[in-house]
Amino acid sequence: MNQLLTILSICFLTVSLTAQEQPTIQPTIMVIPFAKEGNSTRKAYEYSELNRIAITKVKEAFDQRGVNTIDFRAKLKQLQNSEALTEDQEMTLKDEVIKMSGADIYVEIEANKDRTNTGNSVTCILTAYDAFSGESLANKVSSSPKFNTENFEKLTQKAIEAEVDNLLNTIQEKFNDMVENGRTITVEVGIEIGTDFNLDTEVDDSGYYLSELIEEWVAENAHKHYFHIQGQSETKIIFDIIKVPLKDDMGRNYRISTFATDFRRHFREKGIKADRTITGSAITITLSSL
Amino acid sequence: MKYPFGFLVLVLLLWSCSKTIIPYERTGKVNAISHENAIVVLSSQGQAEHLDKAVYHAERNAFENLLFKGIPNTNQESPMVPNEYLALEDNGVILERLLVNQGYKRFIMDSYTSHSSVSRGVTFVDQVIKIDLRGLRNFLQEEGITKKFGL
Repeated sequence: MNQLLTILSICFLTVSLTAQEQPTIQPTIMVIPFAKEGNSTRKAYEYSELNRIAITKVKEAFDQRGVNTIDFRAKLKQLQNSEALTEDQEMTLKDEVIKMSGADIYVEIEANKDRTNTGNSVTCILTAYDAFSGESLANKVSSSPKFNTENFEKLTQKAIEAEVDNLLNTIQEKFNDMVENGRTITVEVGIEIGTDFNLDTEVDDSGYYLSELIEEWVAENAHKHYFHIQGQSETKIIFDIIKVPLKDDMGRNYRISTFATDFRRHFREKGIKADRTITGSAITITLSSL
Repeated sequence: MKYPFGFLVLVLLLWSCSKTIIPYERTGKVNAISHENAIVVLSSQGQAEHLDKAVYHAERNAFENLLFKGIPNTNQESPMVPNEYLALEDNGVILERLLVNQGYKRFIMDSYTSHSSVSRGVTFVDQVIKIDLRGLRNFLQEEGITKKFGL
């Protein structure tokens, strides 16, 4: 009897596990202030109360949708604790914080006061980026109603509340599109100086140029065969859009290095060496003789 | 009674005219009044053979627009349900309960008729409806009609 119960339990567990839907991946999100050229992100945060309020309100909106956000201030402190920053480092602080935070998405916010004779208001610009590719995911501009008040903090709150749901909805639409159509990567294929072939050389007996073989391979391996060539010459071919899936066949996160490795292995069989460098969503491949 | 058959036809004709049934039809006549903090106030138009049914048509129209079309100038400009046909195919029963059987009532914080008129036996209403968007969004997620925020 006990054995029968155990077998039944195992069967039930197996059925319920296979019946489970793929869980939604929660991307990590960080909300940061926009800093004008020549200004540091830290100053844009510390010196502007409006920016701080705007950031808090956007974080609140993410919380309400059940998404935890990475705290920009905490990451900033962490970075400042680890090293004393020079003026130059202050300027690249944004990139450093984003890189260190491990955020998948970052939302940049700018809040500005508008003073007029008919009343004051605040305009907020909200832009969400994919930290992986730098692609813009959503853009919204929102203005508060005009009031005869100097309480710009309240006006900032009003401006954010008016548009933050739409920002999140647009990001979600882009997520849905990514799940369906894949993520964008860029690939630049070049020829090493001194190599005895170029992209207009026939490297096998198929009768095709090397550039055509590359294009064919990309077409074959891009998600849903979607790609776009930005430009092409004898020594360089640039793919500004290649779609790759979010998940591999095993349901694991698709790694961009997989694409580069598959490319390298394919052309190795044709006697071509393909060195690759990966930076974010950009792959640079340099071809030479094996 | 000289013409009993003609009289009967006339009575039947009059009776059928008075019983015209106006079916529900989704329209775009839903406009934003205000929105704040996951709450939206909409004005929706409906028409039917009597007031209660016209109100029902107006409310259902507001919810169907929110779910499948989105309302301009609100905090829900894009549709809450990305693909209506897929959603109806996968969750038809739940959506029928929500929309046809007035399950949406639990997400209405306030609803009143701002204007009504009767013309040729048809009642027209302008219904002002205050909707709890967060509650509605959570319901759609819990029922698996929409995904949680994320990839």
